[in-house]
Amino acid sequence: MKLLRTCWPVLLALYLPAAQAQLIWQPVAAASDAHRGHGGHGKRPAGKPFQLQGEMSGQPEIVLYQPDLSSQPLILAGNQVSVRSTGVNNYHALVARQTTATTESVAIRYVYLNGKPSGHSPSELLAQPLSRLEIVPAPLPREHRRYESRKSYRFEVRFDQQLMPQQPIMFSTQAGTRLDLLTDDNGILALVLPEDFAEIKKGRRNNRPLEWQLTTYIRDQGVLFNTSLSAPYHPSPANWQRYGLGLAVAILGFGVGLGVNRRLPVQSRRKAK
Amino acid sequence: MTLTNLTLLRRAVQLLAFVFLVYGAAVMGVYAADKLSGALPSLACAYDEKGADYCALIPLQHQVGHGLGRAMDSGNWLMFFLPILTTLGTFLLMFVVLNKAFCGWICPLGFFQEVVHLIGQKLGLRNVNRLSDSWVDKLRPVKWLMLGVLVFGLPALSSLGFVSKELGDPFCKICPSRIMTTLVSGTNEQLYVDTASYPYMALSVIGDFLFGLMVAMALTLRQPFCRICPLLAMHALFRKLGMARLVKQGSARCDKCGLCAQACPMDIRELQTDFNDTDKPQDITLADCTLCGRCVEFCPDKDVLQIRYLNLPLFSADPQYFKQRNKAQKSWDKISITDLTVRPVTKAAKPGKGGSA
Ligand code: SF4
Ligand code: SF4
Ligand code: SF4
Repeated sequence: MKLLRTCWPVLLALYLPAAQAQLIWQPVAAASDAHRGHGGHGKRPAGKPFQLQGEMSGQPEIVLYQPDLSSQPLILAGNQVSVRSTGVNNYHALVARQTTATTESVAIRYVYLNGKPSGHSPSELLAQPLSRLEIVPAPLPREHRRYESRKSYRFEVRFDQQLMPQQPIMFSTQAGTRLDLLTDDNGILALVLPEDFAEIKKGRRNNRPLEWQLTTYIRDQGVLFNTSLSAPYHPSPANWQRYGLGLAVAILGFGVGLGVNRRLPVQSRRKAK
Repeated sequence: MTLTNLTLLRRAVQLLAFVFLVYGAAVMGVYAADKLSGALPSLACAYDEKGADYCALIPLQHQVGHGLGRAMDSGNWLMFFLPILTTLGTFLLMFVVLNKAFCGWICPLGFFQEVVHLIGQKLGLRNVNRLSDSWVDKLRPVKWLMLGVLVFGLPALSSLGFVSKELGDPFCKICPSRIMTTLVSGTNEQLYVDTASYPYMALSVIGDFLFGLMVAMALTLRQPFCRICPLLAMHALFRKLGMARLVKQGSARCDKCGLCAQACPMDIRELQTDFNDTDKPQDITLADCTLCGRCVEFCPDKDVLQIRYLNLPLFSADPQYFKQRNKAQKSWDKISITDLTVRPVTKAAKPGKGGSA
């Protein structure tokens, strides 16, 4: 199982037709805590390290888009890059692109960085075309939220800014779940993240996230475009939050309230005539 | 156009504000960055993903809960105070415009309690139109405790490591608006007992219980949660900065009347007793006031009570208005779907009259 968890992006890349040369962003394993999104506070490492998995011929172009859509190039060291604070908070887009005469491979990852309020909504970043073929979260988990198992999320598949109906997509997780999916007639993929964690401890802070990824490809005029989107996901809080009990306690409160009501005397400020 | 029923106008504004604040993400956007202010002076909830804005208490708890310890460690106090001042500044920018009317006219939880009370009355449940003075006096300090302990105290202690991290945002954990707004936006995900740890379990049980208690009590008593709401206390701190005010220039007749205090959903008895011998209107926007304007509506004496904006009268007590309004109230009180009145258990109590439209 441990071997599977470590090697899954490589296995996935092998599974895909060799011509696709799929690129995928992954967190660097030892620093996976830095991935806890906006919820993780406390001392932070200088940057968030990611590694680019997949077959690389030459040096892919790496770009970090900020919430205001400005961008900065980053350099891969080996296959790793450290994404440092840009001074503004909210989602940034980390994009790797490798182009040959017959292929364009893109890996996209939305990374939450802390800083001063950017004054920009993540919807601006999501509306920005990052590559010709891309999988776009619709929407991203809101600030202070994160991807969770058992919850449904929506994604758009766009090619040249057009939504792609009935587009095949592959979904896979670090725990070994693999699904072949299709977008609907509007080019939207609705997906419930699986609860495939080997062990779930009680509490939001007590579980390490796993990784999921979506990949898709398309051929257009002799060029093979492929793209990936990856992100961490966490066990659903439904594993330690009891909704039936919550309702029972609220009903108890309601009953006590009715009892208190009966004991409240009616007062009047007006003097009796 | 003459205004014949301020309460009806207020209900319309409350309804619009409720729809906007609870479901307005459809127009504003889902992300925190899309929200109107992120520091609203009303209990609109950040846990409601469909909402258009959220209250100032959540950023304040987080800024204290995460920032204080870091500032102590690093000595960088600017990083601690800057976000808090930004939140307070945003809060104040809005607050000065409406003052405590953010409670009486805008707050979704305030409106919810009024609707529940209406339902209770139309079901014929008894109406405890006011609490005894001694209970009012006992309850008044609770809102300050809620603000001091739950919004600032425990988050600060948690940040410094004196209490557990789970107590970093304790007011949100027990806030009835979190449960109410998420329920009305179609999810029960906030009505839970958290079994992750004992502090979380205790907070979630208190939150669920308080929510049930509030709903039941609102059937009979007006604005039960508002009386202990920490945001009401925060409003009270800054109320002198607001452009909207309640003013009074009373007379000896007030001593015998008391209709204003009877009408007040927050049981502010000082409305009747203060400023009865004054030669100019005095600010009587007291700590518990929500600027709902009911006291002005039910004052039968010309201009004794007024809601003023930038010191210009906006709505004034008027014998003619009073007559009309009182008549409308009586007709409204007669409408009842059923009579579920339960006799109070105390001997002294008599069944209450209406008066809470
Ligand atoms: S839980 Fe209450 S205090 Fe917290 S954000 Fe929601 S309304 Fe505000
Ligand atoms: S006092 Fe009442 S109306 Fe005002 S913020 Fe609190 S719950 Fe809302
Ligand atoms: S004092 Fe008047 S305006 Fe203030 S809460 Fe009471 S009735 Fe409403």
